[in-house]
Amino acid sequence: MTQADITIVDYGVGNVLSVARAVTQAGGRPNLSSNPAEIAHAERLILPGVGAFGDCIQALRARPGLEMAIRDFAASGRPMLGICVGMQVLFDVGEEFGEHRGLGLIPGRVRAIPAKTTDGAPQKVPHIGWSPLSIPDHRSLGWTDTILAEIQPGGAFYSSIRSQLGQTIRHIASPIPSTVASASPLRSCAAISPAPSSIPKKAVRSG
Amino acid sequence: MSRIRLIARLDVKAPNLIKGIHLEGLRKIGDPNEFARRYYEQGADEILYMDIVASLYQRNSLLDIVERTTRDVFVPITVGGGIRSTEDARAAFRAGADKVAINTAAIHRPELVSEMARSFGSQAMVLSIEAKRHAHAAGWEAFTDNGREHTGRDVVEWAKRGVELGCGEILLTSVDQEGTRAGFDIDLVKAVSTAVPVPVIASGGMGSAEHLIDVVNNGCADAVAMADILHYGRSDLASIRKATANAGIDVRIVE
Repeated sequence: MTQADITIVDYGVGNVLSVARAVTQAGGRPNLSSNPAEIAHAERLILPGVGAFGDCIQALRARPGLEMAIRDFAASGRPMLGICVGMQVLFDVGEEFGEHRGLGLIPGRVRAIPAKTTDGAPQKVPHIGWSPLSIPDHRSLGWTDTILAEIQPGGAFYSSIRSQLGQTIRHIASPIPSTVASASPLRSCAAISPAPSSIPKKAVRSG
Repeated sequence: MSRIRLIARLDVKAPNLIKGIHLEGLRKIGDPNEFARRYYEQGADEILYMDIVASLYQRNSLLDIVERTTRDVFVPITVGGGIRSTEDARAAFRAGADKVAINTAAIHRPELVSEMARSFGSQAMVLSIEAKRHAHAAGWEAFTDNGREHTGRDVVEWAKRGVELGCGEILLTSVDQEGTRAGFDIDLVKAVSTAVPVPVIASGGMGSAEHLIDVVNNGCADAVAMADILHYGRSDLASIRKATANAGIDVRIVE
């Protein structure tokens, strides 16, 4: 496989070095950029992020030409990956610390994870840790047309999120296979039933 | 219920990995990068770096160590010790940190927790609490400066306040147990973990996998930090993980 050039949007937000290292580890050539022309014409694009929705979209919009460059890139149909809040801002609206308008490249709202599961058991939020991924029922092709194509169902991903709908998928470069462990026995302090497995939302645009 | 996380804690006095007892009496152990890489390869769920002398911007500081670590460690890295402002936090993220932990700065100016949460998200804002049992009363007091400075704050109340302010996780270190290998302060961990809706990392006192199982089952810990049990090779993460899974606790299975 030839090395792909991966442009990482550097807008002053996020653990960009960690993302660049992951790209290198996965066999790509990372290029950090805040230059709109470079971003609009990138081969592949990553929009990273560690942050709150409002601050991130504000940081992005504060850089002249950046939002338009990302839109132009998205319209080109070339592959784009949003990570963490960088993925959440691809949606219409985020509800973290107030309501904020996202880029609207993917329809939907990003909402806080409730403090109780659908079964009414308490759960700790943010959800932090390595969790198995499941293929959602509506995807008959599984993940074949996504960045997760080579991942076995049950592969564990680290996520650290307090919002759902927009899924946060981190450390994707080196997913560590795992098997789904059996549910924990009842504990006096634990949520009684495991949280429902979340449905990965398509945050990857394949070209 | 999320899986229980096993976190390798590395206390650093740059350029060395160090270890103390009750957070004092420090001994040099080795090169933190080498140890971090070993723990990643053994299957650590996360790496936690604590700079015990808060030398954030000095030459060969913790941030240089973090930057090197991100080359070959691909699990989340939390950085604490000496972070006093959002600018400091930003520098830590730029060096490759995924989360930052603050203690002293939050005690002096609690609004900093909110400012950081707004800038970086709650999930990246860890409130670090050094807890000491009251000598003549029930409960625990929060300390700063490696357990040396009193704050007058009750640990459980301070943890709740931290969550109101926006922290997304609590790193709870028992100064009494730290470095003793005698097990965690179960009562402390349970008191905090059941009082707050965010995950709590239990730290201080782990001498065996049984201690970990105890603090998860009886202390309601969401994650467990371990240091000298790993540093001195008394056990390794793979064996600890296996023992934990065998005890029926849901952990990531590393193949």
